[in-house]
Amino acid sequence: MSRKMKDTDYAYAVARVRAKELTLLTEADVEQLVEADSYEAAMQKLSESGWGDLDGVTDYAQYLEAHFGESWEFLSEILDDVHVLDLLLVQNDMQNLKAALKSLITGEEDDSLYSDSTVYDTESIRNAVRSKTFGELPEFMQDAAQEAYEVLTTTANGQLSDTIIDKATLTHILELGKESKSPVLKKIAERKVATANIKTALRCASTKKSADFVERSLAPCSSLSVKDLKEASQEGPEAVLAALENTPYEKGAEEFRTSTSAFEKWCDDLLMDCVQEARYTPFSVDPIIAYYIARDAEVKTARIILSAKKNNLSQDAIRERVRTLYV
Amino acid sequence: MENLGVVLAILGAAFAALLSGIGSAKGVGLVGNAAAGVVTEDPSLFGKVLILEILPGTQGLYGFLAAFLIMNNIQPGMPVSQGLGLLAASVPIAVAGLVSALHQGKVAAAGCGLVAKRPDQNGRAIIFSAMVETYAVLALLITILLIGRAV
Repeated sequence: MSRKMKDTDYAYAVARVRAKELTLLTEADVEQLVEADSYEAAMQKLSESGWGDLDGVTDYAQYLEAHFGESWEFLSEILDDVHVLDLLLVQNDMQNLKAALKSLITGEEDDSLYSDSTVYDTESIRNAVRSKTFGELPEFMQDAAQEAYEVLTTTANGQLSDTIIDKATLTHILELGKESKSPVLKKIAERKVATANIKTALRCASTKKSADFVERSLAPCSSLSVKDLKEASQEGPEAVLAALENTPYEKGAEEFRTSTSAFEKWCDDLLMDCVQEARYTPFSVDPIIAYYIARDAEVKTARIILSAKKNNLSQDAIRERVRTLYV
Repeated sequence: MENLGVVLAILGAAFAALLSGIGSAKGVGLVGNAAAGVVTEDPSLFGKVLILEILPGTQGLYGFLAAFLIMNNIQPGMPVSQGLGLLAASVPIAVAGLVSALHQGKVAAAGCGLVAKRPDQNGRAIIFSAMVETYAVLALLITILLIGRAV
């Protein structure tokens, strides 16, 4: 880790981010996308908004991934130490770990399963897993990788293996949040883990998973009682929603009762809410984090709209799913 | 010790130039970082951010001016009271110059962010930054008046 950065050390990066924020989609842009006559018209609008040439584009997922990849390259370029963003990216590293373990078990390699927006070198992770030298992985991954590998080889239980990795991810996110000086990152870490716990508890309640399995899946956080969630998950989804009453996540229960897409939108908007104040922060890492979250929300919104256009969903149905934007 | 008055006056001149110079160097450096970020994304904004970058540099000039005035008033064998008076006269521009340049640098760097997002608002960014300048100008004025009183 390099020297400790002062808030004013981010002056150059923040200035570049401020200029780049002009290229983020606005509410008016999103409304035009929603109102586009067809999938092709929506793609054309994105292209005209600077998202890249459409020549040779066959799949919108790749197109969006490329756009997000450009944003990540930009952030890597402007930051002296990209590790300040570890908390936001570590999930991608763990996703790569899951993909590497699966390919080790199945013997099939699929490059499309790996993300490039990562903290650690993807190829190093793949090599360490391929050679089963888990000690060469980043420290926080080692135990989870070993345990997940043993589960896969002894029980072939892919779900349990994923659960082990997911919990290690959440635990690491919380640790990074605690270590961070940025109040925004601390809040993001807590909300990411809490919403992941809620989702897990609801999923386990719907699929009637055992209390032991739920306990292995939930990561303890300060704003939500894991014990209450575990107990509620044994009674059903409604009990999990009831357990959210009188917590900061009460509105999530309301949204879940409306629809799962409303709940997913609420989870994403909760993160966006953490960074709204960064619009007025002149220095510090916060505007850079906000830009990353903003790009992520923008890409999710574009994905929802394009997918909806392909499936001929009504404009009102699309509007319900559109994420809150940063600008 | 017969030259103590001269030594104190020289210290005053050095103090005025040094502290306000440090403030300006740091202030201009900070704005320069932000300005470079803006120009990387949009080179057409160079002129607008350049004005912002110059603003925290004025304190260094005020310190230089004060040091020059003090040096002009140094007489060989001047009494200790006069030397002490000139040293005291340097304090306003030295301290206010240092602090105001640092803060003006922060305001001007934030102004670069404003110009990056809304280039038409550069006038306001300059006004915000110029408000801090007031206190450096007042300090210079007091320093000049005190130099007049000390000799």
